[in-house]
Amino acid sequence: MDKARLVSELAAIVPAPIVTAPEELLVYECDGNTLDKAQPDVVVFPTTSEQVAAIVRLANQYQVPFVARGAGTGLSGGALALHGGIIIEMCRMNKIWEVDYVNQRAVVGPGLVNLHLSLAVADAGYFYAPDPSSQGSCTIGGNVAENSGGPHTLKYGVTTNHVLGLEVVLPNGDLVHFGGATLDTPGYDLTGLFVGSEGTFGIATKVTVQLLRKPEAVKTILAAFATVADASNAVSGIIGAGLIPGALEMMDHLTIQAVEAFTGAGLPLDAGAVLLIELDGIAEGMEEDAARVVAICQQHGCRQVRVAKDEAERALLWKGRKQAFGAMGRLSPNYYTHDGVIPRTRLPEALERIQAIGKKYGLRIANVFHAGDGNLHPLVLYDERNPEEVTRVMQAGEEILRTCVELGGALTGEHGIGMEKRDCMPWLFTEDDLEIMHRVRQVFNPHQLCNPGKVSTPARQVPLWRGDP
Amino acid sequence: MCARDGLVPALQAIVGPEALLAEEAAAPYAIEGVAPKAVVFPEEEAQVAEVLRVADAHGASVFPRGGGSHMDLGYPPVQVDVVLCLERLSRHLAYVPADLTTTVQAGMRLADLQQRLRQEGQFLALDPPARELTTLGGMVAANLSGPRRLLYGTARDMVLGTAVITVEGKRAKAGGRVVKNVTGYDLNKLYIGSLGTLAVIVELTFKLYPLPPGEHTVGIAVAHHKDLLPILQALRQTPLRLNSLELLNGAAIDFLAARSGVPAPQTPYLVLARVEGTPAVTRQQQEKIATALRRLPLHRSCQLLTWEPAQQGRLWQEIEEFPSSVYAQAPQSAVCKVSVLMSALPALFATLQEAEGHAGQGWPALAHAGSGIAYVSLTAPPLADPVAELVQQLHAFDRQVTALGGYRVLLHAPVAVKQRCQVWGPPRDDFPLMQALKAAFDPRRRLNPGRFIGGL
Repeated sequence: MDKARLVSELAAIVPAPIVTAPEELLVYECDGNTLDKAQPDVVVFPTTSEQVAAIVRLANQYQVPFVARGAGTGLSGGALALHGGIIIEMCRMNKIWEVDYVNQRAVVGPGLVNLHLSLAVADAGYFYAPDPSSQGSCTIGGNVAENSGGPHTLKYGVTTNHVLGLEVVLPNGDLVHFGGATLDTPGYDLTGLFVGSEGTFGIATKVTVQLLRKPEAVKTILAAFATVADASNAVSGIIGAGLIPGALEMMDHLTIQAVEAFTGAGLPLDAGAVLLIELDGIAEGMEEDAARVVAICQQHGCRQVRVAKDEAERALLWKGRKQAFGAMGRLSPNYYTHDGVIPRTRLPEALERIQAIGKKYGLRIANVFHAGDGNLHPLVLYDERNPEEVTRVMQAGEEILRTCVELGGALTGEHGIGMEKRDCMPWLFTEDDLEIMHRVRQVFNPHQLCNPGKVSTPARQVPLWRGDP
Repeated sequence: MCARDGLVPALQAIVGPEALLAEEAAAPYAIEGVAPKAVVFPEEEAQVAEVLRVADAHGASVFPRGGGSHMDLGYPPVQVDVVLCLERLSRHLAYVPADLTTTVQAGMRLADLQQRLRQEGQFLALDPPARELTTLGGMVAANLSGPRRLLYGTARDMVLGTAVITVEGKRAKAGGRVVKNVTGYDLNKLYIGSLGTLAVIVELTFKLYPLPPGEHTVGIAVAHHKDLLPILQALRQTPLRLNSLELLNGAAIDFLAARSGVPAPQTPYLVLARVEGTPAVTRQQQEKIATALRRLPLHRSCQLLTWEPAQQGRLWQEIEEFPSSVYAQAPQSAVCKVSVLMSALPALFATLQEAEGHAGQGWPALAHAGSGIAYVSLTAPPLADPVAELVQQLHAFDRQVTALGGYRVLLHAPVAVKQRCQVWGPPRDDFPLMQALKAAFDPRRRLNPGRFIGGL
């Protein structure tokens, strides 16, 4: 099978462009996780479900691996063409097919940018709840693959809680439908199984989601603490008091420096940690709940409280949080982030151990994360031009993940296993656990052509596909 | 000699004579009239694994059982070899209140868990029928839910981790004990609602919620079916902390009033809205509801109702029990669970109104309206062949549901009726995948064979 023939047959299926030039393929050699790289042979941009199915059938015919890709903002190497082959770039399938406000449903193409859905329904008073920090560019299809989260998942849940139905091109090219606009579809919950399968069970070509009414009232509170431990204890105190804020985010001292330099939002530069707490819901009782949150923070040594007085101030505070990863560029040329999860009550201990790991490897670690969920995002700062430092970064990352597992947690809360953490799966799962997962994958993806090499080491190794030039 | 000979002694060797029932003693555990050869009550996961291995080796079918409240769900079994009772696997394994999570063995009763959680001001936000009897494993395997699903969701939104024993005796876990987790495939979703056809659930971790500080129910008596959707829509769009939104027809109102002893109005339709919050907050929400309804241009004016707190409690308890209790009082009926869009509910209820005319008796119907889930009890007039009559009613009802873009599951019905209907509705284009999943987990079809969709 030569590459020229593959490309010409693809050209009969999809509209131009078809990307094959090595310098253009560079764009597709990694996603948001830049430590791992692999180049595809060809990138196509289908515009219909039928085209996706035809591409997949062609790939099967010639036994060429294929990987669906959204915006490439993933953080675990999930959209890498690890074994070469075809990248199916879904960004042109970004149509909003249907919005049904009465029933609070929307049907969208997988290439639709997450935020664009919320913007499209905002005037009618609705929003789409999952809000990854990359929501300005990441796609709904990518969110489905990764079961993406975001700051507001503490109250609203993650992608899987909002996806009701899917149209999917299976790894053999068949077009099937899971779930739908109505709830409790009889049979196995294949929608739920598919969400978070990281592109290894097929390619979603249409997504039915639920929309929520925008909250009547929102209160955004910034609380500053002397230490990370105090802030962590305040988190436990808030949850323990039966309050579930819309979001409950922490930024540590190092992150505050980076974010403040970037946004000038007036974060207290001398604080050990700040909590960004957002209450939302009905107006009734909001003031009382806010007062309780502030009182709990003060009980735990909070030195300063700031309540956003308008939407502009709220947006400014959130800008710092959502752009925190980007702001790290002010501290260091590169950063490496993990996404481990721990039970919320183990936060103080986890953060202490992460700092100790940083010291041990001589690395600076900034923390900016979903504290209410116990979902950590330690950002290990480094310079990729220093290979010795890169090695230490990887070791430190591994040790952080092992710490999360020891504390009763998990390897990833929202970024996915991808190829990045697939070798860590045995830390958490037994051989039998993994064997059952493989069995399920074999049902969907028996030839391992659909996003090979992700989630866990495949039962059957797929050779690197390289067509003759 | 058949392969199943020697099954009972082999099972007895695993669980001991005191944890096994056979012959006549097993009869009370019959499923849809089919008595099992043996009933076992393992106390340890290892015994569950051993029972499954032994059953597999003997070619015996295995029917997992929790509290026994929903054993009739699905197609009637042809032959029942082993009923695997999980009620002794009932330990509360872990509970850290500040984490808002808990881990239990599958045989623990929902009521026992709720009691423990209540001591910490928390609860598991699932309110299925048979709340006293149901076990957590059974509730999840059957994907049971109740009115609070509007705000809190269903098992798929609350199960964080699962451990199952496969038919070959392997223990396999999925998910974990943290509230947010994408480590590996989300097999939790596959086990929820799989009716024990893939593997036996032995352990579950749930996400919990703080108990609301209070609740209040507003009733709205509606005279005209064309007013239903505007009212439901107005309640969904008004900013409320609304945890339940129910729609009842006249027959269901009479039924619930009689069972709960709560006075109810004579009205064709009743909408119930339950809001959460402190007394002050629920009062303000009540006013919001009244204001929103006043603004609606309705065909016939609606009437607002409220009840004493104790009456509200009894009413909701009966609403939760409705799918089971409505069948218990009319065993010659067919209780269906219908899922449609909320906007299709008025048409569905109008359909029932017409059908009632033909059958000459009321068909009670109750919907978790905000979720588009309706429970309808179909009956047939006592003619020469009531089974044939009921089957015919069901077929006609199915056509209506299909025309409304919905699905119908037959929850409870006489065996003879189920044998002549598609209990789970017709399979769809995802069915080959379901068959392949069943084959991957249970290739020799030992677990609850023939009972699930398409006879899986």
